Amino acid sequence: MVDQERTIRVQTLTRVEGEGGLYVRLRGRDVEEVRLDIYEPPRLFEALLRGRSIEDVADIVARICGICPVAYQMSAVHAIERALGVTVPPEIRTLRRLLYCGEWIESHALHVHLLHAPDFLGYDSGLSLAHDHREEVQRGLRLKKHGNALLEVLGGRAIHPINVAIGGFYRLPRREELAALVPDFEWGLEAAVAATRWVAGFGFPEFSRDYDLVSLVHPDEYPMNEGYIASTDGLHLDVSQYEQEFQEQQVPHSTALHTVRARTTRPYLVGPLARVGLNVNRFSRAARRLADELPIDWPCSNPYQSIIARGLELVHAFEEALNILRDYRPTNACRVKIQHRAAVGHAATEAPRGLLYHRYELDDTGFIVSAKIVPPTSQNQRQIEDDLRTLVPVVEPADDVRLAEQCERLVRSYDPCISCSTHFLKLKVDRA
Amino acid sequence: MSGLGSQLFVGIGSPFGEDRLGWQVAAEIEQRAVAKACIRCARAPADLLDWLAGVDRLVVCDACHDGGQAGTWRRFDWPNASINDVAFCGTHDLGLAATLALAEQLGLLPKQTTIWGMTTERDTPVIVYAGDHRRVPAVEFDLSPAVRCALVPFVAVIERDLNHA
Repeated sequence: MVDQERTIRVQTLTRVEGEGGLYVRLRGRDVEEVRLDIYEPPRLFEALLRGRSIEDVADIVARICGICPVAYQMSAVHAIERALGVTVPPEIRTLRRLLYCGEWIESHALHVHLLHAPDFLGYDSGLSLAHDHREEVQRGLRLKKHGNALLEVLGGRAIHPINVAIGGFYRLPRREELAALVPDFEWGLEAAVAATRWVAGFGFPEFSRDYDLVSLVHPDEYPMNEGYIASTDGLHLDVSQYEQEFQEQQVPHSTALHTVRARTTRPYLVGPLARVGLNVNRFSRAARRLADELPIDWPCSNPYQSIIARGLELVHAFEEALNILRDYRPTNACRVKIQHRAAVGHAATEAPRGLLYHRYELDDTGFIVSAKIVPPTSQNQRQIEDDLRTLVPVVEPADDVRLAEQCERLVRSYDPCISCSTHFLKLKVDRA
Repeated sequence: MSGLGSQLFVGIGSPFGEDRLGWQVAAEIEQRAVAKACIRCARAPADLLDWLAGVDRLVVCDACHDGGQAGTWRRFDWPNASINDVAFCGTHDLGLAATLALAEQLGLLPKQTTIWGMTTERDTPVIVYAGDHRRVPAVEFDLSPAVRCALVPFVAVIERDLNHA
């Protein structure tokens, strides 16, 4: 008997940021092809940046994403500051971590409660979940709102903040502005713990992968803005060596580049599961206590349990933010002066969805010569396809619709940000 | 904030370009002080979710794009499937229709909810480069002439709606 060919298509993935689809072709039980089709038009940000003032970069790259603009701003200013040899004072560094906490909170609260939780509770959307789980959804919305409020106070506005500058900020918040947020963040810390306990009680599919987890690590803190790049296979390198170890590849079915380990061409995983796996010992006190209490060993290799990793990072972000909000004393200078020079700078920071790498070449008058941006979703694409290739024969339901749902559910575990990933287009011009 | 009672009017927008329409309408209604409603401005539709306790009727105004002529307006009573045919201007946060649907599921949405949308000419602010892309561009903050002309009658219609609910 000849094995029958089956094709599973998801034209548009739901509950993910951006536009993409799925294609799986099977012959009998064998998976012949898996594609994460990303058809959102390329957005050309790297080319847009060429010839622009370094002062414009933070505001331009923020537009790559409406959910994680701070990550783009942070990677950009750190890379440019490294190129210029600028070191920001500890107070500015702390405020940048605070800004990053705001972004993790709004992003993780949304994904945990409205985008990912429905998958575990048998709902097809956050809306239908809200009807039966009002308290949890309202908690998620309130947690997200407090993250947004922090971005507004520190970044000037919640979506695409405008206060990040090379060398610091354009304006520092007043002490009372941050102090006013303390009661909400005290509630938020408790609510984040409750949310994490809630999701840890979900039923998780038995599905485990041998991931090469990659994230920043820092000797003294849970990584956000700084650190070395590390992996579970022993990598430990300065961010400036990123392009020696990780390689972008173009594939026909995606407007976003895939990224693989350069030496092995194997996929790897970035994001909360990788961060927690490599940095669980650097969590804040409450997050660490909760991580110890939950019945899950780190590093964790079940992608569905990334929802627990997001919950723990939510707890960490609230606790760290709370400590900064309570201790904050404004300094006199909101930013350090810079001097232009021709140089190249690299930086990687930890976006909610994982490692975000930037490299900029500057001229000696303060303008961008070239830019390279590698978003986390680009880096995870190959791993997502690899996971799907493993999942499909395991779940193997006869019902194509059900199989498509299972595939979509796995993709959502990554919280992919497709709009972020499609900022690039390789254009070749043949001239006769 | 002006007005009292359980009728809430919310203008949604931002300071930029024609997205400011909702705020402009709210400001005009507040200034004229004849509408029997509490007036608020929101930057994102999700802001509404915190303001609905005790509200009997919600009236929302936002700039939109529906393929129509700039300066024309539409009124929807919730629920209304055709609201999904209209692109309300907004941020990357929850959109207006999604926010209202979520409010409904959460049991927060007032029994009467009305949405006013005016078609604008531009969906993003105009950025003016003065011939040199290395200089900081100017951002256009004004409404287009077509929308500006329609603003006074639009406000009057909404006021009548608020006062005769």
